[in-house]
Order: sequence, then structure tokens, then C-alpha cells
Amino acid sequence: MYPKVFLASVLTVGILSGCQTAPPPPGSIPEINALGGGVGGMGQGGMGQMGAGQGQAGVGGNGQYGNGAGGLNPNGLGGAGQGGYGQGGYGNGGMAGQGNSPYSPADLNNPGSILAQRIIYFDYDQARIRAEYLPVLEAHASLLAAYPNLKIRLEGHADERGSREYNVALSERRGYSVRDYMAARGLKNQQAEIVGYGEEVPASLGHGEKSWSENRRVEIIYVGE
Amino acid sequence: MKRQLILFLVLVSGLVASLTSRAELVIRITDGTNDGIPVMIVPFQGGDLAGVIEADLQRTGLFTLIDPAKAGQALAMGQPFQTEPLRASGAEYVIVGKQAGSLEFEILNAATGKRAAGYRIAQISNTRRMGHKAADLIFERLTGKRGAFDTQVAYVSANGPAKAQTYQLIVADADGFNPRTIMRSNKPVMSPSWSPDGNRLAYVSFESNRSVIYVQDLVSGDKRALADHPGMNSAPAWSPDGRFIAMSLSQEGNPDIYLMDANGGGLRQITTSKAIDTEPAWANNNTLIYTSDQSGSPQLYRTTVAGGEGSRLTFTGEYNAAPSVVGNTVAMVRDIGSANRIALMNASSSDSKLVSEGTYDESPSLAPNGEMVIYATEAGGRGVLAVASANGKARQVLATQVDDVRDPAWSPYLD
Repeated sequence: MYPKVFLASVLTVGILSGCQTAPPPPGSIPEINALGGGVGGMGQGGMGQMGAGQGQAGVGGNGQYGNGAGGLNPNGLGGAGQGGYGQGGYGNGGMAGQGNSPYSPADLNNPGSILAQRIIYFDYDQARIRAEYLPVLEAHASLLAAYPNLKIRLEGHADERGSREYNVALSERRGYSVRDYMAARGLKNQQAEIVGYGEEVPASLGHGEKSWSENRRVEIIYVGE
Repeated sequence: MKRQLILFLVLVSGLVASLTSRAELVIRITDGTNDGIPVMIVPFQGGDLAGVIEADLQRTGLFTLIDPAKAGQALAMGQPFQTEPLRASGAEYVIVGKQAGSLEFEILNAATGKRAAGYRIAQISNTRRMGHKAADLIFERLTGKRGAFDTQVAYVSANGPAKAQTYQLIVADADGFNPRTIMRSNKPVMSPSWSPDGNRLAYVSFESNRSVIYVQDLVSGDKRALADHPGMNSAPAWSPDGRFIAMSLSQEGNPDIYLMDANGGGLRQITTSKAIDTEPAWANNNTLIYTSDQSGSPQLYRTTVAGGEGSRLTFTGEYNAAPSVVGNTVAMVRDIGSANRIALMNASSSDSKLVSEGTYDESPSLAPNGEMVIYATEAGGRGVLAVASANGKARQVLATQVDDVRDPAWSPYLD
């Protein structure tokens, strides 16, 4: 859950894209789902002129993320009534996004979502991102691009081999490697703070490749979580 | 040669209140030498400092201790002695002394039968330190070089489970005794560096959830942030003249070497490579040795305070890092494939040798006389501090507490 103070300041510009998406699974929170509803919220409920309710409303809806909502777009642009999940621009919308991500902040709390993957592992003395983690970073980048007020810390770590201070630099480089990959996919640099901890905060205290591989990592931490 | 000689050096009670819970500290001598200067140290009347001196001298790899039982006579300070049995014992020099408040001792020359020198050390509250001062005098008399036993070491200890550790910055005597905590945090603390007057430490603390370089006065305890720039603030190193602190700062993930005035301000960039440049060490007031991975893996480079890219110093080994420099000697961590070891290189000839024998050895720091190097290694599943002689013949695991300890920095001469 995100603090209201943070959410109240949300201001985004809606983006239109008329694509259609599958409805969210039963019981889930309505997602932004790429929608037609040009969405965008302004932090103050009640503006609500926009037609975002149509289409698969971009705004989070359902009051999950505080108040605020309401569109900026007086013309109510948006996909023509496709059913509309969520409540669009009305009342309880909340965390505004740009409407072009299949993810919403609610997915951060969903253990089944790819966004539940928050740790990226690395090879020895390398900051190159292994291919298996690209989808994870793409998912986070998509969310962060859609919700520019979300902020993350990228905490880099190294295994115990090599010198401690070089490892601080190496782990910071890993953090930048993750940031740069996500920045190419919509993350704004100022959304991410990078800290290199070197080998000082091991996830596993043991020796050997098993511990080392667990320690060579970048942890994606959403600020306020 | 391997000697599993274990010296139990029991602390005199009432030294430091914080030590009472761990009154027994141990120095473990793992290697000595049998081709050093043969010295016999006779137990002192009225005190137990002979053991302190023995451990000190042995740590240099320059002395071979001769068992006093081989003296063939009872030896005492100021008493006549027979030369022949001493020669037969193999000892070249014999130390006799007595401790009664102050410490008095003599160096006997077994070959000539003469008293070579006599000394008196005034009483101080840290009794062991009197032994270190005596060892310094003996070392200088017998080698012609200044001793560095009466010095200190700063290091970091950590305890607790993974990701919930408590970190302490500790200063102790150079043999690990008399530890005192300088600061403690539940975020990492690392990279202590001594001011050349021995009164202050620069170090890195993550207490604000990012790396910041602090300077702390060891007497008053006052500390202030020296470098809190955006990005990484890392690897402080005090210049020999005390005016500057070299460090590694990153901007947008590109760490370079910078200088700051030791009192703050005056930021000056030294290196500009796209690579990781870190771990600066001062060879003198104009010359910096540092680690850079511009060749693809970490190696040591040399540059000057005037700035500019460095010239590469190390070509042996895939990974050389964390330099410590005294005179012409450069200590470093070297990856030898199967292990990380401490290597010492002669900067003129570029010849180097390995002086440690562990698997995870790191963070070398040379004694101010360059005769020994302290480093972090592992024993019994925890991090410990060890000292190797510069000639590679002797090694000792120092007396430290039960926590995981690492990141040692040898102090300068303290008086």
C-alpha cells in the first residue's frame, strides 16, 4: 500500500492507445491494461470530466490507491466503451499511470506476478545482465514508466572474492547496469537511486559458488514499500 | 617451517572494562623462521612481557627464538653470565630484564660476552605496550631498522545473521590486544584510513543508507562527514603530509580517483577513465597507486596528484587490487585462480611474491616500516586478522574477538 501523501501528488498525462486487452482475472484489481482510456489522474478527485471510464479505464480504480483521479482530458478521450473495468476517472481512482503498461502497483504485492521478482543475479566480476532476467526488468520498467511517481532503490552487491572497495564499485556498476536497461524501456533516471554495498551485506554468509551466486545481486526495492 | 606454537597471553585484569567479558585473547603463530637472527629472551623478573616481545619479533620473520632452557645457567638482569653455554645454545643475542613498575632490560652479545645495550622503559598503564616499546628497541638495535610494534590497527568487526549484521569500527594494539570500539552501526562500515599523526580515522559508513566518508577524532570521538557526494563515496586514503584525502567517487556509475582537502572542500579529480578507478594509496605526497579495471580486470596503476591516466604497474595475475604502499614495497590482493592471496611487489624491479597462505585473503596494510603486512583472512569459519612478514617467512593470526573481523589498517608510527 502506498502512502496517501505520495499518491495525492500524482499527475500524469494520458496516453491513448486503442488496443484491447484481455480482462483481468476474476478478483483482481482492475489494471491499467493498455488502454484505451486515456487516463491520467490529477490528484484531486472530482475533476472527472474525462471519459476514462470507458474502455479499460486506465486509472487504478476502486480506491486502492487513495483518492484522486479524474482526467486531465476534458474531451474524455478514450476507447469507446469496451466494458470498462474499474471506475475510470471517477472518485476513487488513485495512482495515475500512463495507461500503457500491463502492470499496476497492485501487482507488486501479488506473489504470482513477475513483479514479485526483485533480485537480479550476476556472474563473477560482471555487471552484464543475464538474459533470463531481461523479462523481469522489462516488467518493472513497464510499471515504472507507467507510474513515474514510483521510485526505486537499486542496491548492488558482490560476493566476497576480490577486494572490498573494488567490490563496492562493481556492485554500484551492477546497479547502473540494471537502471540503464530499464531506462531504455521507459524508466526515468530520477526514479532510481543506486547504492553499491560491495560484499558488506551478504545474503548468504557461507563460502562457495552457491553462496557467492546468491550474493552477486541487485535488489530492486520500491521506496515506501 | 610450520610451528603450531600457541601462546596464550592472558590479559592482566583491570585493563579495560569492556574487555572483562573476553579476558583471554590468543595470538596463534602459524609460521616462524629457523634462519633468522637467533635471539633468546629470558623470562623477565617481575613480569610476563618476554612473551609479548617474543611474539613481536617472531612476526617479522627476521628472528629465530632460542629456548631459554638451553642457556645452561640461570640468567638475570645485571648478573654475570657464562659465554660458552650461550654460544652452544645457538643464540647470538640474549635479552634479560626485570619489570618493577618500569621495565629495564639488557641485550647481551653471546659471541663477545659483552652487554651490547641497556634500556629502561617508564611505566605506562597499558603494560603490554611497554613490551612493544622494548621490542621496537631490540628490533632497531639488531637490524638497524625502526621497529613498528608499538603501533595500532583499525579494523571492522561484524556479527549477527545475514542481512541483519551489526558493524563496529575498532582500534586495537598492533597485536590485536586492547580493542576499543570507535563507532558502531547496523549499516556497513568499512575502509578505515589513519591520519599521519595517528589522531584521526577516515572511513566509509552506510549509516545514511548510502556511502559517505567520515572523519572521526579518536580522542574526542567527534565525527563529521567529509565526502557526501551523489553516487559512491569510497576508499579514503590520507596523504603522508596530512593535507589531502584521496578517495574514489562515482558519477553516474563511473568511479574515479579524487582528492579533497582533509579539512573539507577543495574537490579535485585525478583520473578520468571510463573504468572503475578506486582504492588509492599514497606512495609519497605526489604519487598515487590505485586499482583500475581499464584493461578488463582489476590491476594496479600509478599516477600523480597532477592528474591524468595512470601507467600500469602489475602484469602478474589476472586480478591485483587494494594496494598498500611503504617505500618501494606495494602490497596487494592477488587472485591466483584457486585463492586470493596477499602479494608484495618491489616497485622498482616489479618482482613480487606471495606472503599469505589462505584462501580468502584480502585488505593488506603494511606496517609503517614495511617489514610486516596485516591482512584479513579466515580461520575456523570466521574472519580473522593475520600478519605476515615482508620476507614471507612468518605468519601470525592476531588476537581478536569472536566476531567476524576484516578490513585492517595499520597505523602510522605513533610517537
